[in-house]
Parts: sequence; structure tokens; C-alpha cells
Amino acid sequence: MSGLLATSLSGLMAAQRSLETVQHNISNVNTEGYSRQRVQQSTMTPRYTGDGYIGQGVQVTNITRSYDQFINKQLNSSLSAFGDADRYHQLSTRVDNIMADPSTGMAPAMNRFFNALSGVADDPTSIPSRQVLLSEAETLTQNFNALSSQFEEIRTQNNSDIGTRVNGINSLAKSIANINVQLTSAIGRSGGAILPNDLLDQQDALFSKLAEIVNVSVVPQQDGSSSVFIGNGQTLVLGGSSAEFTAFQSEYDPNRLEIGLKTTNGVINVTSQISGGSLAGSLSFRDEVLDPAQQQLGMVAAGLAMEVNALHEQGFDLSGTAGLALFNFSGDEEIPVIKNPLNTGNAIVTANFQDVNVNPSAAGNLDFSDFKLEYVGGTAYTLTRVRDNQVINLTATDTMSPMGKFALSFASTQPANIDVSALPGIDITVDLSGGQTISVGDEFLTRPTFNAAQKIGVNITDPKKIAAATNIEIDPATKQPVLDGLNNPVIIKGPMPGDNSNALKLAALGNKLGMLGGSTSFNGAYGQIVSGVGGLTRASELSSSAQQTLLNQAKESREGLAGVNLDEEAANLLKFQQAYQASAQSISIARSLFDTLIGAVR
Amino acid sequence: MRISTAWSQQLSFNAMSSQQVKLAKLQQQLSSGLKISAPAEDPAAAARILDLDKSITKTEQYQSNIAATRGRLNLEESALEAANNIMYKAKDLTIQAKNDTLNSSDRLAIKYEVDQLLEELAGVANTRNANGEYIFSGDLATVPAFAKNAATGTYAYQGGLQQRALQISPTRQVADGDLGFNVFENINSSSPAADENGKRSVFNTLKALSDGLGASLNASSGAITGDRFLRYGLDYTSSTTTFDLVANGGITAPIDLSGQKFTDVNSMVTEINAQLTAGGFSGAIQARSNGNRIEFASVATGATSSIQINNTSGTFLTDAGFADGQVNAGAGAQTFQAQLSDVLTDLDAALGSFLDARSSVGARLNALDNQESQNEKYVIDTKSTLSETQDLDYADAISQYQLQTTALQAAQQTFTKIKELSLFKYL
Repeated sequence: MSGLLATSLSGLMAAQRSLETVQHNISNVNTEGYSRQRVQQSTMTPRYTGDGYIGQGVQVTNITRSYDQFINKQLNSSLSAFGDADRYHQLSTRVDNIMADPSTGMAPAMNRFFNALSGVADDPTSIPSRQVLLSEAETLTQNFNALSSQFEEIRTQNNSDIGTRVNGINSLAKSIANINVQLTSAIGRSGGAILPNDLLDQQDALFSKLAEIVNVSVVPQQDGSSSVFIGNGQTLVLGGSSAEFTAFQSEYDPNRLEIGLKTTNGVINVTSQISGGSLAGSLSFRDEVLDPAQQQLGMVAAGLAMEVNALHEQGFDLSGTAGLALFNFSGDEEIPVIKNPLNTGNAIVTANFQDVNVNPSAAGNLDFSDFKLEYVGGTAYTLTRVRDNQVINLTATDTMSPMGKFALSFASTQPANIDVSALPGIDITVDLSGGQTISVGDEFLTRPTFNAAQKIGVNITDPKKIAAATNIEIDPATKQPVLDGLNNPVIIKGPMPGDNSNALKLAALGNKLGMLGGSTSFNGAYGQIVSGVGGLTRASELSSSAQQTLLNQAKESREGLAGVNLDEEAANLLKFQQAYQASAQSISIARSLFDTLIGAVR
Repeated sequence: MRISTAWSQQLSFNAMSSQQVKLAKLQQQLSSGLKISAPAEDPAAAARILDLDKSITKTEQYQSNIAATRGRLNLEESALEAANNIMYKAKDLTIQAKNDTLNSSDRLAIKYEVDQLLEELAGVANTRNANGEYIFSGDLATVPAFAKNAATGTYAYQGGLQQRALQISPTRQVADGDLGFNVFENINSSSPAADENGKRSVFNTLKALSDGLGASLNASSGAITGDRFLRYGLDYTSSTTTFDLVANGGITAPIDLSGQKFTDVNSMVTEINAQLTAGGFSGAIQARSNGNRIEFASVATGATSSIQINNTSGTFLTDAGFADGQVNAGAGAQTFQAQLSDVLTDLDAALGSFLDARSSVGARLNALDNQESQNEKYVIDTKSTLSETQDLDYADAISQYQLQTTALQAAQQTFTKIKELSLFKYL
């Protein structure tokens, strides 16, 4: 009789646990990372009697969560891939929108500048048309500056973004380590038989959050904790301890952030090992979209200044004096050269844009990259194009004054398979004239195009100083230039206010295919930035939406396995309610059986 | 398969959200009228739009260059017409004056009329355009093309030597005028009073007519003119330059300009004349400026007078545009009839020069018209290509908009319907 009661009671208890679990599931229907739980039941050990084994009812053996390690791994790697593609897409869309904005558009400003030059050619004596040219030149340089500052702004925001994400990684790593400690003790309590489902869900959610920022590999340990590794084996979390990431400034450029891992031996640069997640998206956006766009914009600005200045300096202004440079670059040095702090020598290295009058293809040789100069020994130097690490050899010759000031030129022997045949539109000098020294291995970074768009400005404020004339003496009958004894055209040494020949030549620069090795015009080179950024943005949009689809599939399979379905829970509610009612009913039957028995003997 | 409640909600939301994104995109297109709002939507088209825009603005600039050129050529054309009329009048007067029945006072009356014509022609040659530029002065546009020498009453060309051209297409330049030197000054002449190259300016022709009518039939002196532009002088600060001027076949005057710098042609003339005076040659040789050129002349007149430059050392010959040993002899006085006959021939030559200039202007105006209509067609074609590249097809976009709206509504309705389905309602 007592067996009857006990068996019913066990059914009652099991149904109650199941109902509790169903209610837990229903409550957590919208909890992120929650895995639905189920009560595992089994029969109690039966009692042996002469009649055979008598069942003793049901017992709850465990409460498990619906979980699949493979599906979760899939989800995390999809989160990383999507985080990477999506961040890249968001950021490049911003650059894309800037390029599309007609008010910042360089192309119309460039068109107007060259049209204003044409206007001066129409009316070289007219001060108003010269004034128009100066204002258009001003607008053009301001547009260069503005576009460049917008890039800078994006860079600053991207940097603070990178910082935030690094902090995010650190706090997530700490939380994971904390949970590791709790897990170890919770799992140890049952000897590993019973798992703390909700704690595990919490940690999985943290892994997912971490995966959104950076791609990590999670390795479960024997004691129930999980270790987290980043890149190729740098430990982020090991048991209850976590390492710390840091964002630090690059040695050559304080505006460039690198990712480091703090260890007992100092900070290890792990930038190149960061893959996946929004952090990698931010980093590759910077390297693939932002830096090249800024470098290319600088290249257009520098090329324009070089070509226009060269012609303008050949011309003569309204008062008959030789033209000045029309554009200049603000700052102490035309091209920044940054010394590696580890250099042991103290040589002074300077770089300048080449004079197009001396080297006509100088503007075409400009390259949208930084260059690293390294001293090899003797008169040998190497110049590394940073964007693709292509190396060219340079030779130093002491032809400049004072003695000891070396000009670097393209060496006669070069590595095989290089695609350049000249210096990238810049002249580099190494000054050892004041007793400075240079040691083998000393490095210098020169950035010809990076800041050029930021620094370009107009050098002339007086419209009379625009050199519209060439002052070349023409024979009126033959219409050919008069030549001097050396067969050079004779230059008239005085004002020729109606001479527009130089303005005509300047206006024709708008159509000159002088950029990118003589393959395209200034406008074309700018168009290549626009279509380049547009292409990358488009590709990132496609890959982001593809990753979105993959992520949705991964989420769907996780939700399919682990998500809570309210209809299912409602059905279970009914099922366990009925089981509970039935068990309660059998208690009532047991009582009436007992009453029957009592009544029989009364 | 099973589906979780939260995920089914997410799916409906995703569907609606993607519909809304498409709608927003269409709405942006409809409100801007542009197919492409950012380069990413069609990178190749974005670059092409920049190119097309550039072509259009550039060509529109060519159109405005053409308008400017046309204005100036029209002005030149009317100036040349006025000059033509003056020539016809001068010819009439010359023919009238050649009539032997006229007495000296009749001729004087004609002379005054010719003097007026001379002034009028100078006015025409010094025509200014709306910018105040002298249209026949070439690249020295702020200086009158012809200036009167107060002493001799002759006019000399002092403008520039280069005619300005304007760009009217990527490959085509058109001169926006003609040099007064070519139109008025450098005219073939068979008269003994012509310069050493056989040229006489139309002003000198009219002056000769006036002089003849005033009965001053002067013999001319020998004169040689360098053909180089010396308005801004020469610089011999650090070089040696000497030469000899030989007058009348015997009087040799050494000139030494070494170590001196001249900022204009007049200071050079003054210096040479000073050296001539100092050497006692001022009675035989004279230097003067002829516009922007330097001229040496013998003071004596008649066939026996001559002037020669030789024995130069240094670069003076090339700098001033002389040839070594260049010589020119004067001519004796002509008879009245001979002088007027030469004038008549030279007036015809001047008319020919004006006619050449006018037909050249006409040809250029024609070229402008042709180029203008070519440019216009190019702009229209390019604009239509641009429109195809960047403008929205409204009919297509509107029908898509309606389709998307319907799709969004359907998604919203199914969402609410599905949300109503719950087993809990029946518990």
C-alpha cells in the first residue's frame, strides 16, 4: 500500500519538476543565448518480489539543455565573418557617400579650375578673370583639404572604435574567466555529472559576443572551463585568468593604431593576426579603403601641383616677372620624412617632389604609398614601397653642395620583377655634410602622398601674379618663335599682358594624360578613386549580405535546436499537467483503496 | 523541423525590414531622380559620370571661348571694313589729285582731307575692345598698336608680335584677331621710299600722299631697321658688344654698348645718339626707335646717302635683328606724278592686305560656326548618354515602388495573423 503512495508521489514530483522546467523555458523565450531545457526521467529501481519486479515509479535523473557544440561553433564563426564584413561595409559606405556628395566632389571643382584657366586664356589682361582663377584654385585646394579632413575624421572615429572594441575584448575576456571559475566549482560539485545549464548558456553568449568583435578559438577543458585563443595561439583566457589587449600607436604614425597583447615580456604586436569580427573589419577597412583613398587623393593633389607649378613657373605674369608656384604645401617640409626611433645614425633625410620641368614624367611616377628608405651600406640604399613591399635599389651620389649631401638616384642594378623604372616622383637627399652619420639598417619613412591633399594650398594672392604669358618672342611673319644662338626660344624680358600662351597650356593640362604613368588625366585619376572605393564598397555590400545569409542559417539551426517554441511548451504544459493530475488521482485511488480496506475490517 | 518562437518572430521582422530598405532606396531614387546615389551602386557608372560631366563642362567652356572669339572677330571685321572705306576714299582723292588741272590750293584742300583720313585710319588701327584691349596690338594688348612720332608725324607699329589664340575644341585654336603689323605695316611696296625689305606701312603711304599734295617731294634717306622686339631693351652688363655704322659709304662711326643695360629701346637710342654726337657723327648718322625696333638712318638724303652696319662683335646683330653688312641707300626725290602713282599702287596693296585679313577673319568666323554646332551636338549627345547613365527610369521605379509597397503590406499582415496563432489561446 505504501508502495502505491510512493510511486504516485514520484510521478507527482517528476511532473512538478517538468512543469517547472517548462515554465523556465517559457520565461526565457526571449533570452538571448538561452537553450531550452528538458527534464530527463527514468524509472526507479524496481522492487523484487516473488511475483516479479514491481515498478517503483519515476525519478528525475538530470536537467539537460539542447546544445550542439558544432552548431555553436558554426554560429560563432558566422558571427565573426559577418561582423568583419558588416563593419567593413558600414565604414566603406561612409567613404563612398563622401565621394558621392557633389558638394565635396573634387571633379566639379577641378573642372571649374581648368575652365577658369581657359577664362584667363580668353582674357589675359582682365583682372576679374584672373581673380576668378584664384578663387577657383582656392576652392579646389579647400575641397582637397576638406575631403582629406573627412578622411581624417573617419580615421579618428575608426581609431576610437578600435579602442572601444579592444576594451570590449578585455572585459569579455574577464567575464569569461570569471565564469570559468564558477563553472569549475559548479561542475566539480556533481563530479561532472550534472551541468550548470544556465551558466554554460551565459558563457556561450559571451563567446558569441567575443566572436562578433574578433575571431577566437574556444577549447573546452577537462575541468569544465574553456580556454580562448586568438590568432595563432596567443592566449586570451586560460582558466580563471585573462590576458589584456591594447591598442597602441604605430612607431611611424601616431594616427595609426596597432593591436598588441600585453605579456610579461612587454607588448606583442598581433595586428596581423587579427582576423574576423568587427575589429578585423575596422583594420582591413583602414588598410584597403581609407589609406589607399587618402593616398590616391594626395597623389592627385601632388600631381596637380607638380604639373601646374612647373608650367606656371615657366610663364610670366602681368608685370613680366617669371611665375611663382601656383600651389604650395603647408608645413615645414614638403614631404614628411620620419626617422625610425631605433636609428643609431643621425643623418638628415629630406624628400621633395620632383620638378616636372626636369623630369617630365615625375607626376606620372607618383605612387599612392608610403616609402621606407633603408641604408644598406656604401652608397647603396633600398626604397620599399610600403603598400606592396616592392623594393628598389638606390645609389647615393655626392653631387650636391655642400660636400657630404647625397642625392639618391635609381640604381643601375635592380631586383628582378619590379614594375617601376624610376623614383616615385620624389627626390630624396641624405645630408651628412654637418658630420652626421648613418648606420647600416637605419630606416626612414617618407610619406609623399599621404598628407598632400591635406596640405595643398594656393601660393599666390595677387591676381596679377598669374603667369598667363610665355613671353616667347614670335616672328610675326613666320609665326615661329625667334631662336637665340643656342636654338632656345628668345624670352621677352618685360610684361606682355595680352600673351595667353601659358594660360592655354595650363588649361590644356586638364586633358593631359599625366597621372599614373601617363595613363590618365587628373580627373581620371580622381575617377579611379571614386570607382575604386565604389567597387570595394559594392563588394563589401555583397559579402556582407552573403555573410548575413550564412549567419541567419547558423542562427536558424541553433534556434531550431535550442530555441523555445511556445506551442511546444504549451503542449508540454498540458502533457505534464495531465501527468500531474493522473498521479494525484492515483494518490486519491490509493486513499480510497485504503478506505475500502479499513471499511472491510470495521 | 522545429522552429523557435523567437526565431519565427525574427524571420518576419527580417522580411519586413528588407522590404523597408528596398522601399527607402526607391523613395530616395524617386525624390532625387537619380539612378545612382553612391558610387558603390555602380562603380563603373560613377566614374563614367565624372568623365561625362567633365566633357560637358569642358565643351561648354569651349562654347563660351567661341562666343568671346566671335565677338572679337566681329569687331575686327567692322574695323577692317572701316579701314577699307578709308582706303577707297584715299584712292579717290589720289586719282582726283593726279589731275594736272588742279592748282596748289586745290591740292592743299585734298591734302587736308587726306590728313583727316590718316588720323581716321590711325583711330581704326587703334580700335579697343570692351576690355580696353587694342585689338591690333597682339599680345601687347594694353599698348596702342600705332603711335605717332610727334617729330616726323609718321605712325609706327608698337604692339606685340604674337597673335593670341583661343581654344575652341580640344585640338583646335583660333586666333582672336590679327596683328596690326601684318595688316597695316608690312605691306609690299614698289616705291623708292619703301624700307630695305620692300615694305611700306599704309600710314607712310598716306603720309607720302599728304606730303606730295603739300608739294614737299622729299628725297629719302638710307635707313635700316632691326626686326627684333626691343621694347624691353637689351642687357650687355657682362658682355662686350660693339659695331660700326657706316654712312654714305665712308663715314664710319664706332658704337660700343659693352657693360651697359637698357631697359627700353629709347634709352638705347639715346645712348647711341650720344655716342654719335660725342664722335662728331651726329650730322651723318642718326639712331631712332621705330615702334619696338631700332632704326639707323643716314641724315643726308638722296641716292648717294646710305647706311650700313658692320664690324660687329658681340651679339648685337642677332639681338636687334640686323644682318652683318646690312645696307640701305636713300632715294632721290620723286616727281609729283611718280610719287602719287606709287601711292596709288601701295593703296591697292593695302586694300589687298585688308581684304586678306577680312577673308581670313571670315574663314575663322565660319570655323567658329562649324565648331560651335559640332560642340553643341557633342554636348547634346553627351548629355543624353549622361542621362541614360544616371537618370532614373520613373515608370519603372514607380511600378517597382507599388510592388514593394504591396509586398511590405503582405508581410505586415501575415505577421499579425501568425502572431494570433498560439496554443495558449486554447488553454
